[in-house]
Amino acid sequence: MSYDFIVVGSGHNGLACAAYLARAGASVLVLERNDRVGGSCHTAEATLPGFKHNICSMVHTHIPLSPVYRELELERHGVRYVYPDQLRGTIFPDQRCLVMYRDSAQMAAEIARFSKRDAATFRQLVADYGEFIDATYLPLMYSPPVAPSLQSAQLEQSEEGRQLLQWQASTPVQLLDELFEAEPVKVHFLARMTVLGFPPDAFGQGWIQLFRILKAEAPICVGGSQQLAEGLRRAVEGAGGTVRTSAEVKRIRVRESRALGVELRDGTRIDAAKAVITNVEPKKSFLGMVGEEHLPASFATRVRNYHSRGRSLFCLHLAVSEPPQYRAGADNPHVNRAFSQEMFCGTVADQVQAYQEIAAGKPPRREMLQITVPTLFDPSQAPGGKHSVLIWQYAPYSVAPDGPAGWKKVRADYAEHCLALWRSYAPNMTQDKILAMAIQDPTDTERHNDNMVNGVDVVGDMTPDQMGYFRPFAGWSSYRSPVEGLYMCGGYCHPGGGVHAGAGHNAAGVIAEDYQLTKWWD
Amino acid sequence: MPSREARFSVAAPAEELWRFLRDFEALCGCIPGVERVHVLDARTVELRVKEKVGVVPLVVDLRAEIVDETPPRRLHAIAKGQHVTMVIDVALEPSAAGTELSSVFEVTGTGPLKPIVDRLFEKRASERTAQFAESLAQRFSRRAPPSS
Repeated sequence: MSYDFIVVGSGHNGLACAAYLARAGASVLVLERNDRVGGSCHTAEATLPGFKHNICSMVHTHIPLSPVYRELELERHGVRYVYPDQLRGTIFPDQRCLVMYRDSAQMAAEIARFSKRDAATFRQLVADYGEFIDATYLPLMYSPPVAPSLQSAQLEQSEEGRQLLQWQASTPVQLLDELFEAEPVKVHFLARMTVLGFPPDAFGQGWIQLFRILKAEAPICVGGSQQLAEGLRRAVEGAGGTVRTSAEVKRIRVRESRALGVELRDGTRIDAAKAVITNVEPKKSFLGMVGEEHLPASFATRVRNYHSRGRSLFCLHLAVSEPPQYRAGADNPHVNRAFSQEMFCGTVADQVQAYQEIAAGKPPRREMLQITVPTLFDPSQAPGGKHSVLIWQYAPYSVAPDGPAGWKKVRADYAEHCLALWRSYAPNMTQDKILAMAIQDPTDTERHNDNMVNGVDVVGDMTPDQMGYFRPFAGWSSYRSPVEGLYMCGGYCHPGGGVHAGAGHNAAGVIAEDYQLTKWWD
Repeated sequence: MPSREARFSVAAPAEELWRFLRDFEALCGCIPGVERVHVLDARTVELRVKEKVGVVPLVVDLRAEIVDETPPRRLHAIAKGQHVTMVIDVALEPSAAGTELSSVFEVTGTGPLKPIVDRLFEKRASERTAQFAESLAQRFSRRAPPSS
């Protein structure tokens, strides 16, 4: 049995990569260990029949505007998105709120409720950098990473560029302190970073903070996240590719530093005439499936050092009889119709402290909550008139002193604690409104998808040493590996974790060039 | 390959317009964003173009060469820089208003910045072409209308 390309793992990046290659005329096989495709694009009836819960991904920020959606004709393959009326609502302990709007003038007016100076700053940022970010954000995501020297060479030629370089070197908190005066405004924009897992006080991430101030969207996949994966599967199969579930790859066969194919758990061997592409996180791919004996020592060291130590999420999936109504609705009623409501206490220092507690293995006692009710925008995700709710609280993977196993002891109490925190903002969510609840602690997240090592939902920390040109490893950010005919396409590659299919798209481009396939999408 | 076609009339006879097009210093004065011009010979010029994206300037150094010409009617030039290649075709035809200039610019980003260059060209090309046409129109509106 032989295919041109074998993709290991049917997460959305693997499926996207496979679809591009199949449409280029290659024979492609996608192998998936589970009985469903999609990895973290997973929707399940976790509480009650008819209530759909998105287990590891909810928002697909970039997909609808991406080349992947357009080029793979995902709409034709049944993938549709709806857009909440407002993007986010940050609610503060005093029950005021700051709602994030798409329209920059409306957003500036909202900021002006807290600080006129900050509103002016926001408007100036939009004028100065809005077009730059529009022009660079998606192209940088959907192409292999640019070498830092190339970026610097362009930017260091002007005063404005040099300022951007300095901002890039700073921490998110530093940048926010430089730009804004009102604490609620800073809390809101800092949350744009921490909800993606970026640490608030890590150097080298100021530029991303700027992007996150100016660029936001919150599309929800109709029918749940799983529908994106199903659409991608149809794109693969529609182009002649094959997707096999319940087919676990035990090892990637390598001889004389060349990938030959794979061997399944049941002993079946499948040859790859051209290449094997792994969507599985680096340690399992290279130390597990390939074997260190086939790797240069320096590469093996980098694989071992790839880290996932950042914050994880403690999730509650609820089936409820009515949507939450926030006290903060009295301050701005739009908060109730935002994609998410976020409660990150009242100061920037609270988010920094939460990260410090998490690093010490302590689940934060104060609210670090994000709430999403997808059924407000896509009623198909629950029975008529009812709603499904996803609650996140930032959390550690390891709970001191017992480690990951410690969650077994504390999860029920912590769930009640999180609900109590939530109710202090949304008093209508009394116990009788909660029809059922499923707890997903960080160890459950890793069990759902073990690419999320230590429950880190972005497949490896998004820290400056593991981003862009350094993701997953300096010198190996081109989706190639030191094993000839073995490529990488997962969220551990640029542009990182999250549901955008950037890594799958970019890997397909590199592979098409290496094997002289027609880049039909270029 | 991103491209833009432009067609506009200039109030000058073709011969005069041609002389202008072949005078690199004068021509570059009408091209938006050109900051520096260094003429190497009658067919080759080096120029620095600055394109501002918001407040962030992107600077491109180009070497442009006329590779084929039929005076005063047609010109084919190629300009290459570190991240971009431009192919330029210009044709002049007499018209009632003077001369009709039609041009086709094909711009291809090259190397790692290709996606950004391509996107920027898509966003800015029409605006810059209109500015170029306006500059030419102003330049020649100071002259007497062409004789038919």
